[in-house]
Parts: sequence; structure tokens; C-alpha cells
Amino acid sequence: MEAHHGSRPPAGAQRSTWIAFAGVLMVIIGCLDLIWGIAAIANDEIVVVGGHGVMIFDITTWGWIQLILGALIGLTGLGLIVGNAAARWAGVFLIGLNAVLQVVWFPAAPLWAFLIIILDVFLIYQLIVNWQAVSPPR
Amino acid sequence: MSSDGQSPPARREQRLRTDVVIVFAAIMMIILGLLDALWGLAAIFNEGIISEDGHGVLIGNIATWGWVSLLGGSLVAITGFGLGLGIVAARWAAVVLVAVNAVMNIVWFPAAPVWSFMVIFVDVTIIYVLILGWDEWTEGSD
Repeated sequence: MEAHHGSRPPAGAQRSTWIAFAGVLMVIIGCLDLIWGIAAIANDEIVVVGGHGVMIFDITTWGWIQLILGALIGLTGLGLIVGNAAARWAGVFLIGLNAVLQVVWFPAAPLWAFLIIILDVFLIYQLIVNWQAVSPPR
Repeated sequence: MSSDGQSPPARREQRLRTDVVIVFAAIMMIILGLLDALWGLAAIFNEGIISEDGHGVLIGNIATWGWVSLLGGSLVAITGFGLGLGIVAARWAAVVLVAVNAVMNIVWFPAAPVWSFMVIFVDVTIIYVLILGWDEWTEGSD
């Protein structure tokens, strides 16, 4: 964040903090999904934590889906950090999808699905509630 | 927020040291860093004690990640101290370190799900407080 000496930027500071947080959180979720996906592809047993298999198909398939989705979410998060406007709607869509898809992991690793869904919901909240705070320049 | 607010540098620097939100973030970082470091030590000395039901870590072995956790936790705690002292460079370092810490804690998940859950949750809370405290920190609150 560059320093504005003396005067305060109109809404820029507000924008950068909210969006920066959403972007960082999105990158974290993306990385977590990505690593989880790789682990599921490489070793079916390791991701079964306190449960049994996934809801439908098999763990390797969902590992690939999680890997690709995680990569997309991470990239969208980077887009948010650099201030790409298109990244916001894409972010809401991808994170919403991610939250819904976590349900297939629930039988395998309940606590993991729980964590990711909480983070997803928190992120969507940030993205949508602060929409108004950003868009109209006051 | 009005756009005509002028804050002299001196006032801004004072805020930088006294803002309570950042003090909270600093204390949270110190606590989390110490927890991580102790967890790492435990993992190095006794692999069996941290694995809840016989699962290993996601990749590699427990002792290796114990060392990583020990070093990472120490760094987080030190950065927390720096943040508490009001060192400006500690801000971004803190965000990056805590974010990396959150991502890396996925490896502990198979061994200790609840631990991993808690650490990632606290990490995200710290990042939230750190980044959203930015405004008051650098610009002055109103």
C-alpha cells in the first residue's frame, strides 16, 4: 500500500483493506484446496480422517476436481489483490461452488469440510457485504 | 469517510504504536507462535504423542514437520513482538507468515484434525484483524 502523504485517498484505503483481506483469504483457501486435492490423488487413505469415503464417485476423482478448483480460486484471489474488478464476481461464484462441493468430502473428513465451508462462507460475506462500501465513490 | 481529512505524520506515527487492534493481533501472533513452536518440539521428541489415531502427516514425516513448525512458530512469535513494538515492516511480514502458516497446517490434518482446524481458524482471524485494522493504523480512524 503506497503512502499518501497528507491527504487521504477518497475511498481507496477502504477498498484496499477489504479487498486485500478477501484476496489473501481466497489465496489461502485456494492453496488448501489444491494441496488437499493433490493428497487425495496421491494417497486415498490419508485424506480419510475420522470417516469413510466420499459421497459419490471416488476420492481420486474428487481430488482432481479439488485440485483444479483450488488453482482457480488461488488465481482469482491474486486477481482480487491486484484489484481486478472481474475477480469479484468470479470469486463469489467459485467460492460458492467450492462451499457446495465440500459436502462430498464430509463423510471422509467431516472436520475438514466444516473448516473449508466456514472459511468459504466468511469470504462470501466479506465479498458481498462490503460491495456497497466500495462501489459508490463518496 | 470524508475525503478532506488531513492527518499530520506525527499523529499517524503515534497511532501506529497505540492502535489496540494491532496490539491484539500482536498478542495473538505471539500466542499462536508459541503454540506452534511447542507443538513442533513435541513432534520432534515424541511422534506418537501428537498423532490422534495412528494417522501420519499428509506428506513427509512427523519429525520433519516438527522442525518446520518449531521454526515457523518462532518466526511468527518474533514477528508478533515486532508488530507490538510498532515496527512497520512487521505488518506485511506478519500477513505473509501467518498465511503461509495456515496453508502449511494442512499437513497436520490427518494426524491431528482438531489441532489443524484450530490453528487455521486462528490464523485466518489474525489476518482478518491485521488487514482490517490497516485503515485505523495508517490513516487514522473516523
